[in-house]
Amino acid sequence: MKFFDEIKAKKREKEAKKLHHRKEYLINKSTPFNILEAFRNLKASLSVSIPNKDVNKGAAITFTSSYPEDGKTTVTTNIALMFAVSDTKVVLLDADIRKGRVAKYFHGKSTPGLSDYLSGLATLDEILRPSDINPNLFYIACGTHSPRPYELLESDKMTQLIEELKTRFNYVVIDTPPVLLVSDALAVAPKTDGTVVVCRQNLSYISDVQRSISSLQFAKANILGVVVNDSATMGKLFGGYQRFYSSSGYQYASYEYAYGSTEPDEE
Amino acid sequence: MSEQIQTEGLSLTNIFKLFLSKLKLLILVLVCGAIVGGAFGFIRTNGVNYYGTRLEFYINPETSDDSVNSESTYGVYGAYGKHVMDNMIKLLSSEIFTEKLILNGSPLPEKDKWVNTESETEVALDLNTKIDAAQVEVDSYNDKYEDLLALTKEKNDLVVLYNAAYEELKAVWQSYYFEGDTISSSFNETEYYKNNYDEDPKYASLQEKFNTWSDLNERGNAKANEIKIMQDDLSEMRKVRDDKLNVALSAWRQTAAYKDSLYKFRESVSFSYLEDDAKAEDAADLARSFIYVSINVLGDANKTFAEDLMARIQVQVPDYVEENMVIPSGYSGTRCIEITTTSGIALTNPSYTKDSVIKFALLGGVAVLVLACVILVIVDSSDKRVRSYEQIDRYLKVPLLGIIPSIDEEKINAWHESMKNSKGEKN
Repeated sequence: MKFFDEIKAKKREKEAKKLHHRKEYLINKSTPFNILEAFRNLKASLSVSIPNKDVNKGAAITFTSSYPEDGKTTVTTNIALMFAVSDTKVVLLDADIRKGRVAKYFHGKSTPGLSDYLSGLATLDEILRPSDINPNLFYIACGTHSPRPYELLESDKMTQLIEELKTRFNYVVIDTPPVLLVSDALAVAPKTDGTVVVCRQNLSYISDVQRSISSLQFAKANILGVVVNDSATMGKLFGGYQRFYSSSGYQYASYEYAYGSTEPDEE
Repeated sequence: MSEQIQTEGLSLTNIFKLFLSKLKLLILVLVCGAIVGGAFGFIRTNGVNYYGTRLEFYINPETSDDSVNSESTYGVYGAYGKHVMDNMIKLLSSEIFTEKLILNGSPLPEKDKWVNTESETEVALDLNTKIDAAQVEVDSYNDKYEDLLALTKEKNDLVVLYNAAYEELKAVWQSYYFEGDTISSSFNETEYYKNNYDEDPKYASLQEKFNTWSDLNERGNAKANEIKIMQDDLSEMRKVRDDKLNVALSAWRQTAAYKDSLYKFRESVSFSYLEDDAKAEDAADLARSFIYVSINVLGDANKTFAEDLMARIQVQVPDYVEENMVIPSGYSGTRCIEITTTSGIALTNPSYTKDSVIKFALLGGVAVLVLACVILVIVDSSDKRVRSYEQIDRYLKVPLLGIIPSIDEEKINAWHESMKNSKGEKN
């Protein structure tokens, strides 16, 4: 079994290396219809799956994965954007204090950020930044790299921060490190209303995803479900629907809906 | 839950879907396998030419009276049943008959032909000595047998004369009123003869004829005795001859040349008989049995061996069949006649290479395809990565919230370019 585990790990490492140099991506005017629809569907699924939603308070959702390069940060950032375009106020919190990349998506700096706040070196207003993309979307970068990220994330201050953000925003979307690599996600997930595990088609192993879910459940996290990222097969399916929608005029409506623009771009 | 993943089996539907998804690969594998198989078949059989022909013999039981129509009216196998034909074919395919073909009617192998190398000189000498010794006995026996035949002819001639003399004597005897028709050998001792001899000159004729007959009788008996003695001698000589023959043949069978010849002859000839029903319109064929001989000699472009083999078969097979065939009741023998109408030795496998290429191409293609399918199933079943959203539902038992399609590298790069440009404009 150990032998097969080693082979599995090597295979994953090899595949992950191919993806390592991939850049950040946010949905935009040029984003294909199938990708937009996929994020829209995810947003809708999350909206209905969060339990006991208090109307006066927002909902906090943790996003994690088994291992790196599953596309977790891209999915987290884009789903936050998707929430924002629906006229809901969203804050994207980068809880990956060891290697956070959320700030890169908005071409911002990582500091000051969450770790600085939790260490008492910055205030909330200093770390809370608006994005340039959508007025409803704010983000908190990961902050200065800390030698004890788990302790910071597990602290009461983190719990208070999440509660505070829930009063100010409709959705608090939290990006955490891979759960099988470090235990940071296990500190954050129980503090939120739900946890989503992101996996990548043809890269993530079922057993790894299973272990991640088990670990999170053991830490008393509320598992909302799984998102499959980078799916080649499902891309073709949505492509077919695109032809249907574009011929009936719905595609113009999707651009407008995504970006708040009233003027469609000429193709 | 991990045990669930490991113990789930493959369904036919999944396997079919897997093969369908890899159809191009499987077709490529099939084509490659067929090409390799075909190439193998070509290399293996190119230049492998067989020369020979097919001879046909029909066999029928016969009576000793030629005036009687000896054509049998039995079914497909003629007068001989399947069992009899099977046995005949086994005999023809046996080493005994193959030896007969090699010897080509001679009781002994030729001298100096079966041992070639210097290392076998003693063996050669030994074999030649035994052949010589056997040949002496064979020649002696044959000479004696010729003498016996001559003696038998003489006896037969005497019998003819004896019978003629007897008829003459009987005619004269019956002209007298001796009692009975039986000619008494001692009639000249009867009182009547003694009393009448001098008075009746016909008695002289009777005496003369009796003497002639009696003389012939004695001579015939003497010949018969001679023949019996000669037959006894021949019987002894036959034993000695057969012993010497066996010794020589046993030594001959130990030589490498004999074994090579035996192998070559057996590989080049095969026997069979009619197994199907004869054509209905040719009812005469129903009454006969047929033996087929296939001659196939590898690489005999000059056809020398094949032609020689054919000539031997044409002589030996009829004799052997006639000697060894089971004779049905009411018949006295077997007749075996060649009915072949072919023109002689020719290439017997003109499409051998082409057939082999096709055969090996099919075999190679199918074998490689099956192997590829097995490998594909093994590799696929051992791949435990997330490959479809059905796996999420089946293995993880948590909701599938969303499926995000792949984003092209070009789209990502285009977005980065646009972000750079818009940043530049802002500055």
